[in-house]
Amino acid sequence: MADTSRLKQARALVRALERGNETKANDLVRELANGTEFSLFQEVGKLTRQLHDTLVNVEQDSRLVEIAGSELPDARARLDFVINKTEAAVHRTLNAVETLLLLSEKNKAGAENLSDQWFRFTRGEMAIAEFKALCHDITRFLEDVNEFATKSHGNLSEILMAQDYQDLTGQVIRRVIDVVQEVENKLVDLIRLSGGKLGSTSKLKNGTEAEGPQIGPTANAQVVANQDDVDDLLSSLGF
Amino acid sequence: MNKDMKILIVDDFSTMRRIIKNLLRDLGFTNTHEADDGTTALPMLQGGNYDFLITDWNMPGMQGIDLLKAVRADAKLFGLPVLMVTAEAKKDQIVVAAQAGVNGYIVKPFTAEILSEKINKIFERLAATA
Repeated sequence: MADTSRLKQARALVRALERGNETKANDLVRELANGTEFSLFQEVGKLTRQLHDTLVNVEQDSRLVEIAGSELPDARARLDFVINKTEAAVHRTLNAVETLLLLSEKNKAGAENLSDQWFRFTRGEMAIAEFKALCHDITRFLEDVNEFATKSHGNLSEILMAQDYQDLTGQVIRRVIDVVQEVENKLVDLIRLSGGKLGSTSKLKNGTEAEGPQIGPTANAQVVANQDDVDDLLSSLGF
Repeated sequence: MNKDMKILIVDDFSTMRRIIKNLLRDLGFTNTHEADDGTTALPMLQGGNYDFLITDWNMPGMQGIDLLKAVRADAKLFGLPVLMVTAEAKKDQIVVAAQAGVNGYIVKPFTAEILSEKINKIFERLAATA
């Protein structure tokens, strides 16, 4: 309500009071109060709205507190699980591989030795005593081959089974992704409510800071796609 | 190339050290030793008469790039051939490694053939300049 009109109303009120016109004076007082009441109601309305918003924010804050207090540490534990599980799988696989490599080298050496002797035998260059030794070697070699076949099967199965980490860690990682997604949504909501604008706020990263493996396919021109790219880049630098 | 040369493998993941160690054994290199970051690797290099260094980049403690720079700045170690085997795949990083004096750069994941090829290349080039 404009001040001039309130001033007019006030002057009219004074005049009415001076003339002793009680009815008119009461009407004018009510009129004046009406305007104030209206803005007062508006203010109370705004405050109520703000209170409501604040309460909503607090509710969301408590969800964030829950996420920060229990779900993020839980996510950390899950990711630690992934590291441990994958590490165990690699060691399990490598143990099986190392044993097989040693056995296959032994087998190869045995076969080479026997074929040399066998070649001499077929050409009739072998004395009877030597042939007896060869028979003994062949028997032992056959035992070795048999053992190698059994071990191979066992170790290959072991390697096969060690791959189960992918399923387990995949599930765990998916859970962590869900938590991260929720944190992101809550943060975006909070920023909106607090009146901030979402823009490109990602910090410019130092170009050569270590950041680990590139995850997923990338069209980033700053990242090499494969070893050939690395070699091209290095040769362009005189390597 | 001397198959008995003393090689130090630096990576914070024991699994990756094991894989590289096994690949090297397959190539005939059996004199391999391990360290889990630059901080442990540098004193080993200084006191160990190593012939070849294979290092990761991203490690807690001293990173591979800093280890490389420390090696090049060390009066005794500066000529040591260094091969970087890392998941760091940004062009800027490769340039920085090249400027710091790396002899070879392999991006993970890699194959046994690539490792063999890079090692051969490094020692061929060293033999040519020697």
